[in-house]
Amino acid sequence: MNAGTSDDVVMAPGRTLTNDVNPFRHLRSVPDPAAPSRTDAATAHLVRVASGDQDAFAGLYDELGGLVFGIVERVVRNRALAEEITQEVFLDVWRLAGRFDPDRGSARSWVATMAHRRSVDRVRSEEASRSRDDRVGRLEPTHTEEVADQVGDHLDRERVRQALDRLTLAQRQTIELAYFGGHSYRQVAVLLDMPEGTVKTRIRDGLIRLRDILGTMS
Amino acid sequence: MSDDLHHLAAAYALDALEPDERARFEAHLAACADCTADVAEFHHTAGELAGAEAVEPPAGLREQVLARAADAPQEPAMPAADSPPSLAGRAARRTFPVLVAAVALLAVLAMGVVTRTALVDRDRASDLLAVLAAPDVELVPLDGAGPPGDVRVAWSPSAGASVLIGSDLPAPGDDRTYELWVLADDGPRSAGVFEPDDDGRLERRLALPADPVGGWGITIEPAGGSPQPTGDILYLG
Repeated sequence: MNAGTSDDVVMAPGRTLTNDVNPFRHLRSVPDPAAPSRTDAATAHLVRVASGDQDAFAGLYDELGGLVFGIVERVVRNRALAEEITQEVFLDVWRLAGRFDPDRGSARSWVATMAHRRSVDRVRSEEASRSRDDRVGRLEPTHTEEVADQVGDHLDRERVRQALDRLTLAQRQTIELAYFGGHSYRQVAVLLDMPEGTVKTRIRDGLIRLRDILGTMS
Repeated sequence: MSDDLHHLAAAYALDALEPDERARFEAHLAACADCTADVAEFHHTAGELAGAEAVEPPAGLREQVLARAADAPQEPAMPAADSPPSLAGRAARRTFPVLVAAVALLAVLAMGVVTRTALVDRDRASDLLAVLAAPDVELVPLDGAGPPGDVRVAWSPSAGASVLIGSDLPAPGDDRTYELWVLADDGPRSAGVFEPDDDGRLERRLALPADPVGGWGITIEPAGGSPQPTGDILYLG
């Protein structure tokens, strides 16, 4: 919790102090990372789910169930609650599959967005009645789950880990607190004792950088 | 203000906005192609972050998920060339009475939208028409609880948007704004802030929150809007 207030100067070796101000941040080195990926299995399943295909829905769960449960549990940090929210997310996926447009993104992106938002909304509605101290408890990573054992998942995990390693410490901390911690940027600003504007900028610059790094790695 | 909103795309994609900002950004998103593209890319990146967190889900979960879906109805699908006829038929039946009731009025509204805005802003007109012409559009007139003016909401789950059309609306006052609320099961959710033009006219496309819509309400709030309504409900439907 108190780490990070001076993170602009505590940099890992080899990083520069100017990483937060990337003059190329508006340039997209990736043609279009959100381009349709009609060929991926999850997207093909989801398109069929829109017409009430229950086999396709089962196939979609097999593709993305681990992702949904994993990110939900990471944010809500409670296994029973994560099971409940995962059910709700997939129910939403079933119900709203007709709104999915494969031309505007992949099934993974669409489902992950729903899973994350639902987790964050749940955490914040429960936080509203709790003290801030409880919230801080969620800062420390305690991810001890058995990881999915598919080779592809390991590669994904390693790729994302390497990409996160290439952010500045400040960017990485801010993005992890926001996305995995489920905190709003205002909460992150309080937690890190930093101006809100700085946090907003770091989220933005960090995510642009992450997008570009992951794009060039794929 | 608009520039600030553009810069919120990343925080929005990570669900790192507070509810009031999220609602404001979504209202902006409906009409901003750049932000829509940014959000799609950032959601893609966030999806990769999520993918790296994948774990083996609990053993019984798959069965529960599939069982719940088997009993649940689906929302109407987006019209698509490859949609099976059965689904299209189901969607049409579901919204048929509404369409019959509203189609003439929608035609008039759409004409008005086109004639008033086409020369000024073709894109905005087509944004509005995309909602008005959606197969699952529903139209709700809002009853005024005191103030003059006439407000209708046309909304479409498939377009993920609502269109507010009004006339003779009084100005909300200095440092005040109108705010539209979707009345969901667990309370009102902001669907964005808006102001009529100098003649009291209103044509605005706003984002549709993901929840089922139980009704609509409009309040006057401090400039920028509120996360929850603080003013009296002026229009309700």
